[in-house]
Amino acid sequence: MGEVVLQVPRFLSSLFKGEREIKLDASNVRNMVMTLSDRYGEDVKEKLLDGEGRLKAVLNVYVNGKNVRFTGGLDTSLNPGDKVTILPAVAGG
Amino acid sequence: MPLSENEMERYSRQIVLEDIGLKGQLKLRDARVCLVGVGGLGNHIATQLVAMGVGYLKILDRDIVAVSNLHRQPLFDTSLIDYAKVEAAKKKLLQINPGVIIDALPVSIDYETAEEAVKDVDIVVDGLDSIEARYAVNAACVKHSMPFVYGSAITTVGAASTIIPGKTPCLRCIYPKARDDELPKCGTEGVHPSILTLISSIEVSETVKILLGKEPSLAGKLLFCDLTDLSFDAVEIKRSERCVTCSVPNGGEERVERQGFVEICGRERGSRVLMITPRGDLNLDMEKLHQVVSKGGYKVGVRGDVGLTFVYDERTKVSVLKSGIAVVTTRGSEEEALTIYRHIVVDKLGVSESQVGVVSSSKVVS
Ligand SMILES: [Zn+2]
Repeated sequence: MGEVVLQVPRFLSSLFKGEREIKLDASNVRNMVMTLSDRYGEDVKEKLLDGEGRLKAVLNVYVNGKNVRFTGGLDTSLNPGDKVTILPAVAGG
Repeated sequence: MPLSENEMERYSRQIVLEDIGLKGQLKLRDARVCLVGVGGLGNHIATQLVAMGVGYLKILDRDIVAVSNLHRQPLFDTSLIDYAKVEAAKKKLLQINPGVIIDALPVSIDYETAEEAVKDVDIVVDGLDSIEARYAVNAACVKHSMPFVYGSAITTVGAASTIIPGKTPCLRCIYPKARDDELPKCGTEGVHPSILTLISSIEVSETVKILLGKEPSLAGKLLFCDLTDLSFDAVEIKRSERCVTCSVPNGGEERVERQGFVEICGRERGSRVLMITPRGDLNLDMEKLHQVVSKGGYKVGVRGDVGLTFVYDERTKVSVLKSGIAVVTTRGSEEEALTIYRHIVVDKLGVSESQVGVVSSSKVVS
């Protein structure tokens, strides 16, 4: 089975032991978060998900450049070779 | 018309740049730019654009100058506290460069005023502090095929992207469903002045590239910066075919109701700062407003061209802008603030209730 590539922005890299690119098997975004949590610790879940297990409002996950909020959020399916990244929404000024 | 000797001298250090040159300088002089918001980002954006000789700048902002702005908004100083930001900014900007034209509009950004903002300009630059206001500007820019340079900052982080309608994703493609009440705000989280200068400079650089007919660097890309480790991540973003603003024809009612009340959180110790926004632009007679306030025996603090600040009582200070927007700093309740507002604007100035249209069931953003 091919793997998904998570590109980790620097602001999150401490969660992932400084790694900037992580390859893993995951069938959807939720699955990816759980796999990352197993691999790097519970902090991953705490940082990415809210109390009800949803993606935090301030965060956005992009799969091949498309925001998953358009495609079912955490249920968005992932395919081998997909590039995933996570960035917060910034709205101050 | 060629550049005058004076202009040649003033802009000499950028005319020698290969990226600008004489031709570029002439293009800047002919350029018409709208800047929405003259706060933390907008101060620097306006300063750079005006100093560089952009011929026409339209600035919109609903806020008044507060002492807590001064650590990061260098167009303002202690003597300008309580003035409408657009008025204070215009004065300073014209001192920096008397050769440009500045339109200063003391209005709140919503779907109607955003239409006004994009009218008769070449590009819109983001100096806002609210995602919902940005959605309104984004929608107007998409509708009128107007380039929109998005930039924002909070704490030590910032983001920027350049939106070219029809070519790149729009702001809703990037952030489909963000809401101000779910995002951190500068009032409570704070903001480092350096991230503001960094992001505003990136926005100006993108704006100038577009004005000069060059390719912007952040088209289709979302840049995310963090001062903590001075990291820069640029992520390619794709347009979504489900975006209600740029892809689905009449796809979604994205309009949000004009808010009657917004609380600007934690701005003054012990007091609440409430912003009252009427339904439309009331275009108040400022002379008459001054008379009403003076006759009422209230102490006038600051009297500008487009704003008046007065002390209502020991608990409450009120600033009223020409557009009818009021900023009320009070230890009292929202109801009391509204009563004061109605007393002045409806009872004394004779504006009709329907024009004001402020509802008392207020939405408070904290
Ligand atoms: Zn869009």
